[in-house]
Amino acid sequence: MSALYLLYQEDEKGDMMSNGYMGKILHINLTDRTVEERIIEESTYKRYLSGTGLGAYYLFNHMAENVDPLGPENMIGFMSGLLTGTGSVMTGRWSVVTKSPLTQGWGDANCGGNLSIEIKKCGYDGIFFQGRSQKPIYVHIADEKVRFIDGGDIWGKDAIESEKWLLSKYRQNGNLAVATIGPAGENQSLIAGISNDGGRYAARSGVGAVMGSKNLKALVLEGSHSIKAHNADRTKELTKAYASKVKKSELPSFVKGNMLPFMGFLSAKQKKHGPIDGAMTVAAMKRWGTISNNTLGMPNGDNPVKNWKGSIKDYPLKKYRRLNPDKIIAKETKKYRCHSCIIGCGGICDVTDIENMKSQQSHKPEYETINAFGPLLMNDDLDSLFAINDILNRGGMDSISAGNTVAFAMECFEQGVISSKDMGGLSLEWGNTSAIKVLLEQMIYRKGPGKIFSDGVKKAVERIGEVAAPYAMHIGGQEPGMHDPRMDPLLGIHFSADPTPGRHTIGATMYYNAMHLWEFVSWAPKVKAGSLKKDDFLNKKEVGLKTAASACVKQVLDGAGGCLFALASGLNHWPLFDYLNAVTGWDYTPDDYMEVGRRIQSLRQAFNIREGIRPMDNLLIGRLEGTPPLKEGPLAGNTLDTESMIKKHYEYMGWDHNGNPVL
Amino acid sequence: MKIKIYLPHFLHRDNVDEDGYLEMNPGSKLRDVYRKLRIPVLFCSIVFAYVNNEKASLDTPLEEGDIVSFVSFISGG
Repeated sequence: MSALYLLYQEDEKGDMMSNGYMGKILHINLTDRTVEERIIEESTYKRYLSGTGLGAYYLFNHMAENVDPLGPENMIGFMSGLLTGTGSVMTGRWSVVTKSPLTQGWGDANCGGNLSIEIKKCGYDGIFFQGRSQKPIYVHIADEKVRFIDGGDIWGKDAIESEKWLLSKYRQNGNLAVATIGPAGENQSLIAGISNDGGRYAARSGVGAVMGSKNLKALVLEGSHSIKAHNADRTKELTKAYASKVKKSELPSFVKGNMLPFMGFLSAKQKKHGPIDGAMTVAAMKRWGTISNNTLGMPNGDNPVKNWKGSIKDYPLKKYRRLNPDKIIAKETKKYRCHSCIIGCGGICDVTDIENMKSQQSHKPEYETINAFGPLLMNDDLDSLFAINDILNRGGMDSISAGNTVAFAMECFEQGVISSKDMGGLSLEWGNTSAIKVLLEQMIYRKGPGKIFSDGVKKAVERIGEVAAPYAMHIGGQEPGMHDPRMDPLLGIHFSADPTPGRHTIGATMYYNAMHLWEFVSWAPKVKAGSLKKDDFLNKKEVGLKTAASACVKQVLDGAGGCLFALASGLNHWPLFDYLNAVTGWDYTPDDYMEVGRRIQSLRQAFNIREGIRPMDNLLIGRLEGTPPLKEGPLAGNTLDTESMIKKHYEYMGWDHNGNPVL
Repeated sequence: MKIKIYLPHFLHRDNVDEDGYLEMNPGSKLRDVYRKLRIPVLFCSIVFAYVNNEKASLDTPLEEGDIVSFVSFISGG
């Protein structure tokens, strides 16, 4: 281990061990196997928090410009959250930061599981890798002790088996956490993710490919450091108050999954909306997790169908009722909770009755996976969705990007752009589940004709030809999450305007209405009860302020390691800003934290611009913005004026009309 | 008396003012809120409310400033 050195000598040194953060990061060079601890000063945490913010700060300042994302100069960082392990709850999320090989710009991915706490217990707020190992390895870190271990035993194994192998080797040492790639990452698929805790995924931005490019199969962490809050009593008090509300939020037993389409239908009929009590969203999260949207989101148009060109008319109730979340939780043997989670939206399912599963237990599929391989592909076979979820979790591929890519392949097949002969006899008709599984295996292992789809839709167009371009749904190279901008224009703005485009987790109308930001932040517009939904399609100040506020608070959330579903339960219930002050000892106002969020978001954007990305190239295209509009279904006739709305968003982010931050 | 109402996205909001308040007679119970919001009895099995974040029944009495929150759903993944 080389000597410590200060990144910023002029900064004052805070009390590192009692402010939530660990005060240092680890920088590992895989080429020469050198390891450096680097002190991070309190002023940096005050400006960027930890997590994604600290990651953006570090990469922007310490990585050369225009590096090859799959080359040794690229860095990949595993970041914990500022609030992780401090006695706060819903704060166990970790993130991966890197230059994305998928978008060629800023890349990050966010995950629950159990890695975040272990990063800090090893004594760090982030662990960065640079360089490239000559042969496959995994890195084992026990507190500050770093070991480079031959990965020959697990290279080639799927992500779940690799983690099992590592857990069996090290479990006797006590608590540990593993982040690993599957074959998709090893094969540097640009839509590969990183697995943790048996199939929780940091999936987006192609982060798994970067790990694979470094011959880094896995990261194994076991730490013993303690993490302290500045004011532990206050933190505990905040936790107790929130936990009490979560405990009380329950759905009565007579509420069943088959009622959800009716609620979705009623929702589609409403012309107005208003604030909701976020605490009341917790009950459904506790019961079903994200899969309540399988059927709730069909009648109101949230769920994309048939490669985004269809609607509920193509995938009617007789089909989507087969995705009733009750049928999924019937297989749930226990709830799954990420570190410090008290909601428990995850689940472990018994899948012994499903054909060709490689194990008896599996993580419950999330809504995104269900929709990306269900309605998007016109597939209504629920068992196949469990199997596909398992293929993706084991193979290590992002289900959102993979689903969009298979949908693209199916539409190319439908339009005669590719044939069964081109695909080695594979008949890619809509809803052909056996073909979907075969194609996925080919994509993951880069074998057979399906390998042309291994890197997502943008690369597939480059390989097939421009004739396929109209069917490729992506924004800036990344495939969009399973929520339709033609229903929610605010979501569409984030799809386009976020530095990692296509992300569904940055902001949306329903989230804005639930989180009650306006009660805390002076400039966040209040949502009036009875606001007209159609006004969200207008290029106006209120919409621009809402999307800017959502983007800023999301960066605060990701710096804190907080869960999006806690944010959705309302800041009036889950006290993000109070938590941050209690844990750090700072005396920031919510407006101050929003400026931190703006700074992080601007830095992510500045990274893109430095790498040659023009933000205005990331506009929603074609059917994603409703050009031409759908002719049928609840979103019929809806079109977004993406360009002007994004310019309004830029204005309230403090950026120029081309999206350049004014730093 | 004024009661703060948080409605789910699937219910109409015509009787609620833009700040989310509903004017009720003193002594009203939760069932009166359902009536005033014109929520059909049949819907009561799927549309249910908490008062001040506590479980409530249709007979729960209401006071000035109480918050009535209806169960809601959020999409994500």
